[in-house]
Amino acid sequence: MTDAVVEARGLVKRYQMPWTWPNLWRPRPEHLALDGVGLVVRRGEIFGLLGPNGAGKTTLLRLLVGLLLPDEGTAVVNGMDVVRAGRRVRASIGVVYGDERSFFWRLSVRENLRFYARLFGVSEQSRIDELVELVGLAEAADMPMHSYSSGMRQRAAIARGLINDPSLIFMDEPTRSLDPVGAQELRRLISERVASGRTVVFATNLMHEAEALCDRLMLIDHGHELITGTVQDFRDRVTTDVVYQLVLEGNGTCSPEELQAIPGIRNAEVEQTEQGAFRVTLVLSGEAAALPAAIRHLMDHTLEIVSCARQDPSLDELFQEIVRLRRLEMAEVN
Amino acid sequence: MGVTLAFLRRDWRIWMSYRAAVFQHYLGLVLLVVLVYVLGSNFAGDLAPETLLLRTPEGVDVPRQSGDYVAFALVGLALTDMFLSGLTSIPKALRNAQFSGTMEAVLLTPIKESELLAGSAVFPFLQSLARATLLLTFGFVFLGYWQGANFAIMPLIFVPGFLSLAAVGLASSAFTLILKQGDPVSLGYAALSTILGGTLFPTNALPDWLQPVVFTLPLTHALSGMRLAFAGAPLAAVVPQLLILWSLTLVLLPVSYLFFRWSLRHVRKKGSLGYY
Repeated sequence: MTDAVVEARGLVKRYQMPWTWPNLWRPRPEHLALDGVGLVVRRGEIFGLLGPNGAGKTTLLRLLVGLLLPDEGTAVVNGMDVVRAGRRVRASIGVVYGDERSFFWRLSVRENLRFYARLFGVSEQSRIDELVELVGLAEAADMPMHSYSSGMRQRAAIARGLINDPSLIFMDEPTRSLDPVGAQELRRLISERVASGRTVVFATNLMHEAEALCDRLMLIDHGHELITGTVQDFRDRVTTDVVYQLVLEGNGTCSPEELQAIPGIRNAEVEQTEQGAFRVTLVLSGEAAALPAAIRHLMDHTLEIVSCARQDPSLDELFQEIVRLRRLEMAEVN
Repeated sequence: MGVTLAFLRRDWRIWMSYRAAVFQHYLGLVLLVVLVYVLGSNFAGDLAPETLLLRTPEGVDVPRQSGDYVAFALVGLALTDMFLSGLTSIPKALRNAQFSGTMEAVLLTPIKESELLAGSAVFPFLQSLARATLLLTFGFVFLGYWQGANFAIMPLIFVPGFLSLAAVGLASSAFTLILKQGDPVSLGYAALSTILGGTLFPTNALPDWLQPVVFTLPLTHALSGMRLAFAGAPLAAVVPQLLILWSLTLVLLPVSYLFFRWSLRHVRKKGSLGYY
């Protein structure tokens, strides 16, 4: 694929566990953090890495930016092998990660950024000014970083990640510690960067953020890739059923059994609200072809439709369902 | 060069942010000079002529024009500080980076290993140079020592002396990356060098059974060569020291550098780069 900026194949990473008494003379046990993960990220997209805590998201990111070396597999970033051309890869990317300790706390954010800028070969003072302005730290730019809040340090980390104006940006939980306004500003910043041709790969646990921002997502659990694709691909993996919720008013009655008798309706639930209206939830197979028949049936029972809305499962629900199914599968295998 | 200057600027700004420590640092230095002077002129004066500078570990006789104990100790203290900055500064900087959490952030930039090493060493080296200059200027200007010193040959001895100790420091850095704590090199090497390398008393005053150990320490030859230069010895007099120091440098430096590169790769593989 010619427009791929990240191409990883068969990445395996094992961590050695500490020696324990009385097994000092035996080989150290290993934890398999990544088991043959591969991914392709295309130029100009926002790619999200999702997974429960300890799934391997951060390990995968660290492999892609060269902080870790893989035990097996290859990773090519911006057309360069991460292991063989580590320096050139690092010069071409930006990394934002949420470790607050990664700054020199006795220095101001301006001095910190100047130091890191020099390591990237960036010497223009105007770039530092531009970045502190961009992340909303202009007024506090000369204060020592030990006086910063967690959110301010996270903003500084974002500025540092953009210091070399990279075409590809890796972010590990970038909105961690940010207040809602700061998180919204960051999401806007990411969207702007992508609109101007950059690519963003980010790991997050915030499903609404991933759903709102990402073009494509990868879900990993226990070091295994569960699914990669759009949110719709995730839905298709979980179920092909479509759920509609209708609110109806009128003097008629409505029974779930009658609705379930209509071909194409897999399940129906009817609930009467305090105001006397009916809330009907229909689970339809496939492409919801049974919806017109269901509406006709309800109208024949002298009910008037107040609202009708499709109820897609949220990414959060899909995430939980896919992980649950995977764990059930693993439990059966074991 | 820009990267080294960035490290220098960073370390200078951090150091200056601890104002009380800066004051105490130089106050300590003044007290050290006073202590050496008072002790040296009152208690060690009689020992100096026969034992201090007459014969180096290589067996070279030295003229006695600067042979009192205060001069001996000032040169020893000033130059040991500078030589040992090569030994200790890089592992110390790496250890600080592990603790402060900045190690990974720095290694996420396209910095070369050589730039990281030079950058980590430059500020501690300049600090030790400033301290040495203060001590030696005191001896030269106020006490009238080393008026006939052969300054021209000093860099010839200093460079291999510093590099051979920096090579040991590189090995120490490699252990620091891997082991985090308990680096076997830095554990006792600096102290051993200071005690046995001739910093505060001449190595020929040590017992015979210790002489083989004394001979293997780069500091021994670096200090004896520099003392010869301070005493005004010609280039021919320091050839034995030069041969030993350059041999040590040429053997130790590439081996240590390769060991350091291997250790960096090892911790990247193991995933312990940011651990402390």
